[in-house]
Formats: sequence, C-alpha cells, structure tokens
Amino acid sequence: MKLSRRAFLKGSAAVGLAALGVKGRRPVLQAFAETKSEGKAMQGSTRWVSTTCQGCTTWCAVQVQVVNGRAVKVRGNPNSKASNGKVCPRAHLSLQQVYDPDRIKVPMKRTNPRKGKDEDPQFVPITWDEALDEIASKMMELRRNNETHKFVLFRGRYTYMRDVIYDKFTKIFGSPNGISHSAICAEAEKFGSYFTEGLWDYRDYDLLNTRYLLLWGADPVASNRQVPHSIKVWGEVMDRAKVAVIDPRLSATASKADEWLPVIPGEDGALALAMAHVILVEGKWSREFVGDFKDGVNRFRAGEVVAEEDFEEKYTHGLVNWWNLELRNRTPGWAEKVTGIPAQQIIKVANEFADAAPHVISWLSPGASMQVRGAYSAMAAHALNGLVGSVDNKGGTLRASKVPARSQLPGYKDYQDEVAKAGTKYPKMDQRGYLEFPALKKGKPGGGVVTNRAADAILNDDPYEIKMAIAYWNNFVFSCGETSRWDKALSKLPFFVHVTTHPAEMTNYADIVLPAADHMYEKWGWLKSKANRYAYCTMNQRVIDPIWDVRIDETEIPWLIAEKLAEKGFDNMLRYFKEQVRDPETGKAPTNSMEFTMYAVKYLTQPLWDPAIEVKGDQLSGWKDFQEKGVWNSVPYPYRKKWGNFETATGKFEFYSETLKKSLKKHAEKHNTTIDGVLRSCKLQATGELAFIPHYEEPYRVGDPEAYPLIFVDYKSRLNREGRSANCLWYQEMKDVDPGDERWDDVAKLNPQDGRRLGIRTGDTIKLVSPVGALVCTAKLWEGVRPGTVIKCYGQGHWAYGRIAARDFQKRLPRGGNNNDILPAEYERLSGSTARHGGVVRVRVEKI
Amino acid sequence: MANYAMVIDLHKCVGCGACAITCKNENNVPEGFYWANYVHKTTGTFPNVRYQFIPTLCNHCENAPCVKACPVQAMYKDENGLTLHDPEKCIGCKACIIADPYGVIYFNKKEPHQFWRNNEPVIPGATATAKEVTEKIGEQVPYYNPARATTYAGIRPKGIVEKCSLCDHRIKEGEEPYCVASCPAEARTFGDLDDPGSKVNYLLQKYGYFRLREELGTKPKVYYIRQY
Amino acid sequence: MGQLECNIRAQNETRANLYRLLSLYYYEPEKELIDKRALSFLAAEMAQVCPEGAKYAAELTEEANIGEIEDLRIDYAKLFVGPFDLLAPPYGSVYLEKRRRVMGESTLDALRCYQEAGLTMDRYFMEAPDHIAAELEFMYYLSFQDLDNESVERQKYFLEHHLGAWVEDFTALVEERAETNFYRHLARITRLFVNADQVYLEKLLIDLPVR
Repeated sequence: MKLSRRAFLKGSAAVGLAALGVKGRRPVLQAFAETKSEGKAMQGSTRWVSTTCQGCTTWCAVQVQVVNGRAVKVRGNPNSKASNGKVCPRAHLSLQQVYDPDRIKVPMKRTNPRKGKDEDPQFVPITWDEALDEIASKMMELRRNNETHKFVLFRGRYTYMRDVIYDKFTKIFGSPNGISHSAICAEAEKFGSYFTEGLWDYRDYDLLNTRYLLLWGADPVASNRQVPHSIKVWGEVMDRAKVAVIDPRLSATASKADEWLPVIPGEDGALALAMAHVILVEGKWSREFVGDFKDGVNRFRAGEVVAEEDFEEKYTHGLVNWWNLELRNRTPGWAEKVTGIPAQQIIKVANEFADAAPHVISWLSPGASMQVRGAYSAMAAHALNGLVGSVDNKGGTLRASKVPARSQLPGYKDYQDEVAKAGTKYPKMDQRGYLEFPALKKGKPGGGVVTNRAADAILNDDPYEIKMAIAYWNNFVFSCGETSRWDKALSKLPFFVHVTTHPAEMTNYADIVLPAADHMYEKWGWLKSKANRYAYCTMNQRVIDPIWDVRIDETEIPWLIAEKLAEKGFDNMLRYFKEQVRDPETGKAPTNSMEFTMYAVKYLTQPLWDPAIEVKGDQLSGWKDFQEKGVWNSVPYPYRKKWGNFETATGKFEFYSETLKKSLKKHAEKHNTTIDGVLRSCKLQATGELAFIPHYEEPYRVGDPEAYPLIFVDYKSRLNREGRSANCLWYQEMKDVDPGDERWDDVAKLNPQDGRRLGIRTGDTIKLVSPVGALVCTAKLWEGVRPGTVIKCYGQGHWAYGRIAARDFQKRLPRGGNNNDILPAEYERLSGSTARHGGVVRVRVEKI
Repeated sequence: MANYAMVIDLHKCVGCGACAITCKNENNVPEGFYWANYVHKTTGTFPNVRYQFIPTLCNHCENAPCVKACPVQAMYKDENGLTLHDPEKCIGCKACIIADPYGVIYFNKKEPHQFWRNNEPVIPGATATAKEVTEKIGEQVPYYNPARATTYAGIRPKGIVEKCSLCDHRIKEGEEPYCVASCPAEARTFGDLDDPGSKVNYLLQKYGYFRLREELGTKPKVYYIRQY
Repeated sequence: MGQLECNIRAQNETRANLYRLLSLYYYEPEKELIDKRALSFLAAEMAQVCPEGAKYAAELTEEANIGEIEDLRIDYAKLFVGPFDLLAPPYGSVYLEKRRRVMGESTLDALRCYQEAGLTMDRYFMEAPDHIAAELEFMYYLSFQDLDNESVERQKYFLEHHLGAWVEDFTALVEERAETNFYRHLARITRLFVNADQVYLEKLLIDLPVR
C-alpha cells in the first residue's frame, strides 16, 4: 500500500511532523477523510480579523476570515462608516497574492555581476544575517567616505509606518534621499484643488446627496477612489442624480452614466472652460458663493469684457479677471472644434450641472490632470465647483475630518552625527526644484517629488552620483514611463537592495533581495483615508503567520539594519529606535524588531485608542479594542466649514490664483528668470497673467502625427491591485470585467473605423510603436473607443512577477505589453507629476 | 420547504465581477470554471454606444433540463427548489452538460486545481512552488473554504461534474448565498417566492422582470429587474 | 491554563506525532521517512513517552541498522502485501475474529468508531478499514481533538477493542518473521508505545479536570 498523499513528505519529514502540534493546525489525513458534519465542527476556530486592503489608494478597512490559521475570505469591515462593510472585487484577489507560490521566501543574493533586463541575476538564497551584513557593510562604507547622501531610499506604496524607513532611518544614516512614488500617482490632481481652494489632497465626495455628477476621466465604480462606497450607492446616485462621464474610453462608470463625452485626449481643460463660459453666460453661477453683479444684471456675454468693479464677489476671488482673460472667448462652438464634443452636448451638460447646483460634483481625476499641460485642466475642472458653490457643500466636494493620529516618531536630530548632518544638507537627488521641475507641492517650489526623474539623476550623476539604493514596495522599472531609462539607471547603480513580496521587474536589478511581509495579511501598520463624509484610520494587522521567512518592510528591516550598523560601530540608529520608541501602555523599550514594530504602531495611533485622550470621533476603550474593530471613524465632515477661510493667499476660492502667482514668483526668482520663463521651461504655452488662471493649453504630444497617427490612451483596471495582481488566477480569469477587455489577454482597443482603415482585426497580434518604445499585444476593435485613439489598460505586460503575470518567466517574456514601455518620460512639471494621460504619446500600429 | 429565488437588479449592478470571483472563493471552484459568471455586450456605434452586463449563475430551473437528463438522479431538485448535484451518484456521463441550455455545469476532466499541484519554482531555492504552499498550509488550495464541504464535496474530484448550489451550505445556516453577501452594489436579493412578504416578491412586483431564455420553458428561479 | 493542562497538551502533541509517524511506517517505505532526521525525530518523541521503545528507535538512527530501501520494500511486501500468504497480516479482524477473516464484525465496529468521530475512509485508501495504518492514524486524529472526557473515553475504547487488542499478536508475527532489522524494531516500537499509551490514558482519565 502506497502513500496516496506524499505532499507533506517533501523536505524534511521530521520538520513537517514537529509542526503538527502547533495550535490551529488541522490533522493531515491519509487513510481518512473528514465527513461533512465533522468538517463543520472543525471550523470551530473561524474568526474575522480586521486589517486594511491596499489594492488601490482607497485603503479600505477590511476583515479576513481566518480558519485554523488560514486566510479564507475577505469582506469589508462592518465597523467602517466609509465603506459600510463593502469591498470591491480587488480585495478578494489578495488571497491569491498572499498565498502566491511565486513569492520570495528567503533573502536572495545576485551572483551575476552584470545587470540588465536580459541578464539572469542568478540569484542564490542567503540567510537574513548574511543579507543584512552585506547591506550594513555597504552603508558603513558610504559613512567612512562621507558619502551618505549617495544613498537613496525609494519608497513605493506605503502605510504610515513609512516614517521609520523613509524618514528616520534615512536621515539618521545621513541621506536627504527619501524618494517616494507620489509623482507617478496623482499629484497633478492635487494641484487643481490646491491653487483654487488651498487643499493639497484628494477630495471627498458627498455622493448620497448629489444631484449631478460630472466625472473628469474618473471611474469611481472601478478605480480610485472610494470604490466600494461608490459601488454601494451607485444605484441610488443614478436614481437621484444625473451622471456625465468625460473620457475618450467608454469606462465602467461611463457604461452606467446618462451622458458620455468622449473627449479628444488632453482637451479636458477646453471642455471645462467652455462649461464655465456657458454657466456664466446663462447666469447660473452661485450667487450665494460667488456673488453677483451689483445691480443684479448679468453682463457675461460671449466675447465681451466685463468691468471688474461691477461685480461683487463673496467667497471667491478673481471671477471677472478669469472671464476677461480667458472665459469670454471659450464658447461651446470653439470647444466643439478642439474637444470633439458637440457644442449642444456641452451646453446641455453645463446647464444641467448648474441647474442641479449646489448639490453637484465636478470630480477631478488623474485622467484629466496627469497630462503635460494638465495642471491648468485640473484647475479648470475644479473651478467649476467654485463657480456653482458646490465646493465644501452638501452634495458637493468635501474635505476630510481630522484623524488625530501622530504622523511622526519623536525627534531624531540628536541622533544625527556630523556625517549625517553633512549628508542630509545635500539637495534631494530627483532634480525637484530645478527650473524645469518646480514641483510646487503645497505651493513650495521643489516641495514635491519628481519620481520618474530619479532615473535620469542616476544616469547622469545629476545632481550627484548615486552609489546605493534600497527600494521597497515599488517597481519603478515597470511603473514609470519610458522604462528603458530605468533599465539603464538600475543597471548602472552599483548596489541595489529590493524589498519585495514578489520577484518584480525591479528585483531583476537587485544585488540583495529581501522578502517582505504582505501588507494586508502579515504586516503591522496603519493608514488614514476618507469616504462617505467620514475620515478614518484603519489598521494593517498580522492576520496569519507568514509561511515564508519574511520581514516587515517599513519597521523590521530598518531595525535589523540598525542592529547590524551598531555591530559595525554606528549605533545611533539603534539607540534612537530603542530610546525614542516605547510601548505607550507599559513604557517598555523594544528589544527586537517585532516589539519595535508594535510599539511604533501603538505610539503613532495612540490618540485614537487611548481612552484617556479625547478625540472627535469613535471613542475606543484601548489598544485591544482598536485591534479588534480595526478602524476608527471621525465625526461626519460638516458642510461649508471652509467657506471664508480657504488656505489660499486670499482666503477665498481663487479663480485668479494669487497663491499660484506667489509660488511661481518664488520659483522664478530662485532661478533668476521670469514667470514666463518658468512656464516655457515647463513646456507650457501661456504667458503673462494667464499663468495664474485656469486657461486653455493645447495638448502636448510626443510623436509626429505622420509617423505615429494614433493617440495612445492608458487606463487602470478595476482588478489592478496597483499593477501587482497580474499573477493572480482570478485577475486573468475575470479580466473582461473591464469593459472591452478579454480574459487572459491584453488587448489594445481601436475603433472599428480605424481597424478597417488600417486592416487590423480583432485577435490580430499587433505591435504598438511610439517614439520611445514598443510593445506587443492583441488587437480588439471596439465601439467604446474614440476614433483616432488606441486604448489599452495598464497592468499586464509583466516579464517578471511570477508564472502567470509573465508569459514565460524564465525567458522574460511578458503576457501582453507594459504601457510604460511606450509612454515617454514626460511630466506635468508644475506639480512634478508623471504625465501618462491626455494622449501624451502618439503611436502606430503594426500587424505582426 | 421554501421556493428559493434570486433577483438581480441590473440598475444597481456595476459589472464589477465580485460575484464571479467570490463564488470561486466560497465554493473552491477550480480554474477555468465559473459557477457564477457574466455576459456582456457592446452595441451601437461611436459615440452612441451602450455596454450591457448581465451576471449569470445556475438558474435553478423549476423545470430543469439537467435533472431530466441525468440517468442516475445525481442531478436533482431539493425540497426548497434548488437544483443540486450529488457527487456520490454522479458517473460523469455529462448528459446534464449537454441538456443544460445555460452552460453553467462543468466537468472535471482532470484533477481539479491543477495550478496548486504544480511543483516548479520560478526561482529555485528562493521562490516556492504551488505544491509547496499547499503542503505548508495543509490544504489542497491554500484558501480552501471548509464550509463548502458541509453539504457538497469540498473540492469535486476528477471524473464528475459540478455546478452552483446557490450556496445551499450557507442557506442551511441562515446565511445568504455568497454572491449575494459579497455584491458591493447590493444588487442581489435572495428569498422565498412562497413567502408573500419576501423582498424578492416585492421587487418582482414593483419592477417587473425578465429571465434568461424563458422561451425554453425551464422556469428559471433567477430573475432580472431593471436595466444595466 | 494550569501546569497540568500544559503538560497534558505537550504530551498530546507527542502522542499525535507518534501515532501519525508510526502509521506512515506501515505504508510502503518512503525514503523521506527512513532518513536519519525522521528516525531521530521518532526516537526523540518516543523518549518523551516510552523510554524502552526509544531505545529501539535510537538504534534505527544508525544508518547501518536501516538497510537499503529495496530490502525494506521486499520485506514490506512479504510481511503485509502478498501476493502469497501474508507473513503478518496487518488487519485487526484477522486477530480478533475467530475465522481469521477480513471485514468481519470487528471491522464494522472500527468503521462505526470512525464515523462517530466524523471520519470516513478516504476514497484513495484502498485497504480494509482495520488496517494497522488506519487504526494508528485514527488514534492520531483523536489525540488531535480537544482534551475532554469524551475524547479520552473514545480513545480508550478504541485501544481496548481494536488497536490495543491485536497489537501484541500482530507485532509478535512481524518480529518473528521480518527479515530486516527495521521492521523488527518497528514492531517492537509499535507494541511498546501502544501499550504505554493505554496505561497513560487510564491515568489521564483520573487526572483530567472535570468541565
């Protein structure tokens, strides 16, 4: 009689057996099978554990069903007032991420010294001790040579425990270079609200009270943000409100909308300006928020200048200026020509939007702002909220209530020695603040990151040479436009450490690879976000014991490196961790990486769970209570709180942005030039006063229309867990939930008109060629595409990341193509953002 | 005794596919099989285009062709109107698949969950194999849901068919089918048609309904209301 | 959890491990199970509960005493599989029923025990339900359950009426007829452990806190 299940014999039988007694394990049976009723009895230890899903930046509070130590299912956390127990389809895919066989289970070391996409790193497994020792040795070498600034910490997705690795670790070591991924996310969107209402953040939206929803490339039932809440209330929203979607692609939300405005890519600004024009000419602006002509007679007539003194503004600034400088000529007729949207439709939508005001939303998204000249489109689209008084108003766009958690660990400066102090004085390596990269985060020149520029900085030693980098939870050689530059930059980088759950494309360039804990199931951390008028704090918990030898990226790894650095004679970091981070409950100092992790999480979130601290929102009875509930909810955000005290230069909602004027002036002065000079360097067309108002800019496109006749449009899948879910079976099996897409494939969609013209048919294997690169995928002719464009989803095209994501992992052959291979490294420079939308690149389609 | 039915409100449905994914999760459905599925179609020409999405599942027909076709009564109607499948009786003849007009029955030609049986690592020594994961976890599929096994084979073996049971194991426990519970749009309603006060009856009366391929006389128990 | 309960738990883990491991040894030999690590583990666990049996296990860890896997396979077949007369039939009914028949009353009673505990024979288990491997595995399964009087009673019953009732006769045959050191020792270890466990369960019923 042979053993029928030899499974458990693999490796050391003895080890397998020794683990049998571990609590929560179930007996492994050979001769028997459990019968139905008893199987149920075995579920005795089923429980739901709270944690956070970071499959997108909604950051939903979720719960995981744990059966005998295994994660089995996921649901929304019923304690969350933002998502009310709902999760979108992404959350469920996480089960296939955490149990993905292709996760890295032990640290690895490269044995092939040559680096590049086509080089096999020839990784060999090593111990944590060996890996950490080598990392610390390299860091000590930088310290000995006073080159700590040549160290970079590249951060990708994060929890708010980022403060440890990204900030304190980097600064105490002596580098200014905590470089985040934020600029490839959606910074240009924040530009729109910052330079109108002083908010450098995403807005919340009062969906349940809205009467008109104007979506600028936003696809809330599918992707960012507050997806579960949007899905949950969508039926009600459609019952009560009208929905118009502006998008060259028939998106998931467009498929559920009343109006689809398939704008020519990059012309969103023109459309918004024309709508503003209509609203003013029709006299439908908000008297309550904006004010009125002193005599109550509307003088806004197409083409005509209005005297500033005739109009009295209330909570806004610069309306007449905006009209005179820009809006008076932005007629629907003009817009029809540039946007491809019929004037009648523009007039209709603008009127219906204004008629439903102030309970309306003009919802800004990366699609309409992450464009080379998208900063002003973002301002224009958001200015509509100002025009009709829906900003900070019931049924309109909202801000978030405060989440009174601590954002930082205690002071670190005393732990910086001379080497560290000197090192951190260098400018950051990503070229932020250069003349052509103002990166005006919160109005401050050079205040924001220019993520994608870091590759050029490394390649050109500009501003200086980079010798070592540690990167975590990111994959820049896949996720940043014009990936070929990252291929070269990472190949050049002498010493690179990748902290990752999966063997990602970026891992291919690593000297040392450290296996990271999964954020949703194996990590400790916390996040804050908002939806449905509630701000909340949600916790990442260790829900299951990791099955591999992983560590928590943001806290354990810095601690472990700090221990090694201390062994090698530099103990400042370890001392800082031990002396400044204490368990708020017991006052104990941490003695190991896990204690440190726990104390740091508890310290930062203490105001939320400590019953002795009074906060506005849920009152929790202690750490255990927080852990169990998993989420802390604020009080609902009150309406009109900001009217009269916006954080702008004037305190008003600015149509003429004095705030932007100040920022641009500061940047120009820094570089001894004029504001016009700054705009020119940033590839913008405007001169003079137009710089300070939402105005029209022609879309900027890379590629000659003759050689590259079609405009490329990128979008995000409702199953993308930020580009990390392509190795999940369910992702591939359900890929066609993205309208127009196909299962197990990556299709570039063309309008059938274009297909006929080019001789391309559905199912053809095609090559999309842009001036910076090419990719191979499948063609699909689909009516949901604006003629003249090629539309393809981001997410496929992995040549690493695992056996499903790649068509052939060993040969580095991707499944489909990565959009970033053909997108150029272009920027919305005022915010530092990567510009991947607005038809930034032209392509040609070749049949192969 | 009940007369169970499901009502799917297409106006609320946003076509996200959570039903199809979570069904696989709840019922340990192998790759390539879709107990819960969906159809979609795009009609019209640019810019007047319409996209429609209809989630599908076993219709638990009152007059079920698969039940009639089964030579060994492995496919049967239970006392609550569910169309269920008995893996012990099933001989894998596939007569039900041929008779089923909705394409919701699947045959296990191979051992199920082939993916989790693979024993090749992508980076030897540094990444695992699917088999290694399942061995470590002690289940054939790491996120195997044991609750499924209370009324049906937890994982259906090679040589027999399988299909949606409307989560009879959950119904028995007083819970809704998982596609109902996990629909973020709250588009699905499950209930008893024989109970005049049930929400399913309310919805059907309020909105009117259609069913898939009604002309076949199968009398499906999955009802669709409103439009996508 | 009191000290007593802690001890009981630890002991139970060891018992579970031993029952499982011993059960596996009554399948065709697998090289992962006769390697030094597996056998050392067997010896270490035996030392916890049955020092006398541990001695034999320790001897097996010396590689010379195990022998070639091919020899073990041949010996295994002759003892337990056939095709000719089995030298040591591994079925309870052979020893418990008057006419040495397989699938008798005692087999049905074993099946009833399995059923009550929520088990059924695995579809891939092609042997009679009172095969030594099955009975050992059943004890493994039971010792995995939460500790309460009912569970201990159940274990005691099964040892008294099944496994414990024929282990002497069966292992004696193996000891006498095996050609390899490995199976001779395995028989001794099995007997000593099962006997020791019967004594342990008696005592446990007295010690176990009443809930």
